Amino acid sequence: MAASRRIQKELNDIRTAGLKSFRDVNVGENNILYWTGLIVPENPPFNKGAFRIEITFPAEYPFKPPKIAFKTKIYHPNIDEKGQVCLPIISAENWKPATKTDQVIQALIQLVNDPEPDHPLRADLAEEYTKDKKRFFKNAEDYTKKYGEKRPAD
Amino acid sequence: MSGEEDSGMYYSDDDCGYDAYYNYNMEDCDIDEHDVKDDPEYFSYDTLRVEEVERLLNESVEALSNKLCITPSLAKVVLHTHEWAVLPSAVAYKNNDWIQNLLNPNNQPKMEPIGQKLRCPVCFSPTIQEKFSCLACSHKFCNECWATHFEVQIMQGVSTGISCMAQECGLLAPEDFVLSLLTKVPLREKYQEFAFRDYVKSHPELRFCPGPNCKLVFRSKEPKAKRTICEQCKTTFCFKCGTEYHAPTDCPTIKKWLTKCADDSETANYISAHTKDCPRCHICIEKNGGCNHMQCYNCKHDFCWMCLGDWKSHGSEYYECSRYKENPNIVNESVHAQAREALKKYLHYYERWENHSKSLKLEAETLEKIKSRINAKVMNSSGTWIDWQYLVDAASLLAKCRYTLQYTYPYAYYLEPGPRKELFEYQQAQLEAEIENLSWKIERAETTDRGDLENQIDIAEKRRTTLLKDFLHILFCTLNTHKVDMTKLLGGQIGLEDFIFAHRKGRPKEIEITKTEDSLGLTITDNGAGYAFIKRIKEGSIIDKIDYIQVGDHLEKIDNDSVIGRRHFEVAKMLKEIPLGSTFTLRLVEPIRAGFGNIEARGSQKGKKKGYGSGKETLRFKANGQAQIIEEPDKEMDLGIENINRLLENFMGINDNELATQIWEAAEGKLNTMEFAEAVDSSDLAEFSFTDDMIIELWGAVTDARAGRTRHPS
Repeated sequence: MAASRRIQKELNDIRTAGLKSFRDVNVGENNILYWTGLIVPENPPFNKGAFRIEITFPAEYPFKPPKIAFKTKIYHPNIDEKGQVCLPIISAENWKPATKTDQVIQALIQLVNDPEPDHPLRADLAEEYTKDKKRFFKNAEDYTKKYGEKRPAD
Repeated sequence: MSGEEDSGMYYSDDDCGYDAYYNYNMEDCDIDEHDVKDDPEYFSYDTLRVEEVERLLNESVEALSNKLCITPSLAKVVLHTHEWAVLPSAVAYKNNDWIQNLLNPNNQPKMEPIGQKLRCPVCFSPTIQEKFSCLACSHKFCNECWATHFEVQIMQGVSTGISCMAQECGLLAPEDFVLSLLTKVPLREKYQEFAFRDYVKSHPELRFCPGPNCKLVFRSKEPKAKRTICEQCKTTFCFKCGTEYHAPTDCPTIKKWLTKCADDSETANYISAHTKDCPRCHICIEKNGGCNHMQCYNCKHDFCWMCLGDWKSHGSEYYECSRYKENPNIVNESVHAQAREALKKYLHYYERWENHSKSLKLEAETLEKIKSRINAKVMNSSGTWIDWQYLVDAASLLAKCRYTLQYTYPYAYYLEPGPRKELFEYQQAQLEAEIENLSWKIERAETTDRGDLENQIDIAEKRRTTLLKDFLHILFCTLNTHKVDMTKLLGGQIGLEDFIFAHRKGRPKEIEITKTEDSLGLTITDNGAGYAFIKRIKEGSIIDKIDYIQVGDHLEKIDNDSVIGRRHFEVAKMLKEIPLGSTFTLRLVEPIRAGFGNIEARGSQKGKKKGYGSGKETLRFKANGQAQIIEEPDKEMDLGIENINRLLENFMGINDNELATQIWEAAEGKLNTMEFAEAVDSSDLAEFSFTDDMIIELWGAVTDARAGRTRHPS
């Protein structure tokens, strides 16, 4: 498989880099094309918890983009109830084979920390975010506390 | 002229010119040229085969690659992104406008050396340096990765849009680069097929036949929303948008209309018109009875349908809401009322559109019936088969007319209310009446007596072409005169007894003028809808000496600046600001000089500003039915207005006949400056706040005119 060499190297690089906001990277059993990891946001209101994501690489990787989905429920304008996320860097039109997974994850963390209400997946949350930020923060924090995973100790 | 246009013309001559020439002489000798040019649906286009299109594209490619000394492949990329226009492409190439993020140093992928080899930033495999390739951006990747990248993109239908693999690098890969690295034959073929499709789509003069599995391409040097018929698969379509032919409606309007009909935007309007939101739980409620006391089925809230207030406060006032008038919810109510009105309007047009579309289908069945009826008649020896063919012709013309009629409704729907719409709907009604007449006659034709039916065919077709012609080529309308009389220009208002005369666009003309005097001698007016016209030309002025410029001409451009959409005083100001001694170009469109104005001795037609009624009197039909000859508006007034205009030009820098006329009228019956000043101040002229000096000057102009003197500003 052409993809495996690159994915293996990317996995090693990410693990050695030891990112604070993306950790606990696991690879599927006998399937290097399926990763899971824990997003640990720094900005409020999402800094009260952590979020498990899964990354699925297509067989044509890196010529086709990976897919990302949230396994943990999150109160976020750009992430819907099914955990789908709208991330331009991995859309079919914008994807570049030279883009590396750590760049994709950086973009994702950036989006979680600073929602983009102009391109919402959940219009209701985007409206709340722009019109009543206080309420949004309150709701998102409650939601994070209720559904979010525990943040790592360090 | 660009190289592309040159070569294009050569090409067309070579392929179709002679054909067209012979056809013209041998088959169509009974149609004179005037008829063809006058046909509102006339459209000239060529049919091209794939090889011919390739040749055409290659000529542009060659021209650009020679001009810039670049590879033909790169020239193709630049042309493709610039609508195949050679000159703009050359400019864009020189300015580097055609590429984004070229050589952005931050985006350079790191090339990690592994022994003698380099690590490819995509597959991470160590590869020898010779097996790396890059585009002009220097982003190097191994050849194998490039090939896979191309394969994956082509499988997704991307061809000309394939770009560099580096993050955020938008540089497009030219054809030769792709083909030099792509080895799989089926994909190479697919790539070329897709690229060809993209090239044709990006070329404004070319259009694929929309017919299923049809490979023909059409070319028109003047791409317009006109009827194009594929000679191979017989598909009829609009050249500009490639959808069904839709005259007199334009492409964006028909698109809007079809989307409107297809989507549920009108359902939304229905909901808005027949429903309201519950004031408590905001669920949508449909009113299904007459009583205004509503109970929300969701939250059981009782409220008043009229004012949306709590029902409790209404007490015993059962059917009538006494608080309705002062309720702030009236704003919401008016939104609903608007929605209802909009729905009604849409349904009016939609029903007619649908109806004619259905009639078209029914009449296709009638045609079959006609054919069997003809057979029956021929069997009964009432006329020969040939004798009956006129009925088939009539039926096909009926279809053509009804088709046009169907497509008048979307146009009318989007037309702003006003005289233009009234005129259009009048013509539409006329066409509709003749079509129904024709349909009735066709269905009941029992004899081979074709005179009556042929007459009807002729009328219907005339109505159809008139409607198409007017609304494709209308330049301006005059009220109650067929003459090019710019004082009778139709602006906003139209009276019950007014006749509207539509003047059609004639030839455009470009004239170079050198400003040798301060004043050009032009008086400009506009129709209130963004078209400026020449209203008057001063005798002996610069413009007067140019025979080609005439009263009634529409001013389209001054040099390269379009003046469409500007008011008359703005245009006048632009002309005034042209420095003395400089040369500029005016682009004008003249109205077609037709009608009674042309009925006079042939020899005299050449002269200008003649022939539109040389007499000094007008024949006027009075309300009581008697015709009376009355004097032409007196010279005194003309002189007065001219004098006032000259002052206005000095005072405000504009030459405004309407304003001058108003001032002249204000002075009517006035005996001295004081009376005149009072009249000016008590009218809307007051807002110009003329100075006392100006008032005195104006009064001078009036008294001079009364005495028959021309007055020049002091």
